[in-house]
Amino acid sequence: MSSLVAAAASLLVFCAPGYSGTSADAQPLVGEFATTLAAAAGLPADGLTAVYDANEQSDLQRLAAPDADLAFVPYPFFVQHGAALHLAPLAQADVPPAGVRQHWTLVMKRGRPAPPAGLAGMTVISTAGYAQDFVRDVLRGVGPLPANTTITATGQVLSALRRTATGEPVAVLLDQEQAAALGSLPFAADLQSVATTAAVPVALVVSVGGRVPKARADALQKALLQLSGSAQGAAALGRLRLKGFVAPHLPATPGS
Amino acid sequence: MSRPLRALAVLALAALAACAAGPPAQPPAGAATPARGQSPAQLLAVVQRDADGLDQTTDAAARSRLLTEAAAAARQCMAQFPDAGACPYAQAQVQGLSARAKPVEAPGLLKQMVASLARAEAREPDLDHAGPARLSAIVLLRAPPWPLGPGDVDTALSAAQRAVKLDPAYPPNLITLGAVQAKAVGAATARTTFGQARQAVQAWNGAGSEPAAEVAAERGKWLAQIEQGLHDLQ
Repeated sequence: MSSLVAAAASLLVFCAPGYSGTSADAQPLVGEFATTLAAAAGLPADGLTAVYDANEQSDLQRLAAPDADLAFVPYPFFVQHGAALHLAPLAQADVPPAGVRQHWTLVMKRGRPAPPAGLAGMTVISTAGYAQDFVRDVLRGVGPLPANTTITATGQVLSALRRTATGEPVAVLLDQEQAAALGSLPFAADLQSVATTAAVPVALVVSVGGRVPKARADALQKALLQLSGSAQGAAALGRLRLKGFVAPHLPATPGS
Repeated sequence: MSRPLRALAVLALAALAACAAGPPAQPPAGAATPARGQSPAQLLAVVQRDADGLDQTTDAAARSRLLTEAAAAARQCMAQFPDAGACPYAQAQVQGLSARAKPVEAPGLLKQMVASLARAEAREPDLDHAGPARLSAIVLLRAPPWPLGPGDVDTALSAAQRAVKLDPAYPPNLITLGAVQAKAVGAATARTTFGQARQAVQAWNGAGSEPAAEVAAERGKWLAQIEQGLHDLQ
């Protein structure tokens, strides 16, 4: 029996803080992905399972449990929790149309003073707002945020943009897909993109807490990098709207 | 939030159409496919019956047949009765069912669903106890948010409030409003609305000729939804 087969089954947690899907709803897709990846890595059919969880606290609880040894995480989650959870990147997601990296864009009401001074007393709202370290790091290019700037998470970016447009003391940090759609909003003329960050990874597959034996981690990494090369792998990736994975290449500092 | 995670959340749309509609009117006995000469209400009933059937089977062939039949009924309704509110309402439910069957296409289908419901509400706002506004609220609450999908809690709140205004005695309207308020306003407001929903359930005696057993079953289902809504507030 090979060491890959002998090892305990792996659990891949898709962490999606703040998003609306439920674990049960997403199970067919992540289950198919796990089955396909397991086969590509030479694991037994039950050697890899997956679960989707859209709650940050629940994600952290799942990753703290000893059976969770792999995770698919947005880059902001990696920046916020990577060190504490000992997350080690195995592969970097290639997500069309952005690719393997994306820019984030800070949007304010048109006519507001420029940041960082213009952010004094403001709330920066973002889907990545749960990852305050990420937000501060990725916005480092505009200067350090004022001490009285707060950062909050939302799954309702459209509501936040409406608040910005009506003059509330709110700025919104958008991912690349959201920023690209900004012009389609009926109140877009009231908004202004005031800063665009350096490109940072979109999402990563990571090992958790060093719980994956090296031979299995190597096999999974190789399988991830080659997954798009097979019809079955490409199909499983496509249903997750992924193009594939590349070797991880992280910024020297989180936000640059 | 990255795009793949958005794609996964598209699956949150399961049962959107089926859970939001009221009990179907009695379809023609033994109708396997929509027959000529049916009224908009009868064609809508075919769609709603098929939606119920889809919830009760995992057999792929049966699910495909039910979806095809529902789509045919909605198409026939739209072709024969272009001014009836029941037809875009039926079409919206087919679009919701299709979104569930084809997750990759769900964002576009759900945007179409919202548009169909707006047409239905403009023509027959009272249909199915304010069903177009109620279903709009549920779709807008649960769908992937901008920019991928039509999800928008602010607009969901307006729709839920319209449904309650149109038919405040129908418990699902209050249950929907409570669920939307939980996300858009806050737990305290939602808890009050769920309390009103519970009173509405107790006062509910059916919508007409429903058998007592069906009314009792509806009450039980609604009370369970209220308890779940209150539980989710914690």
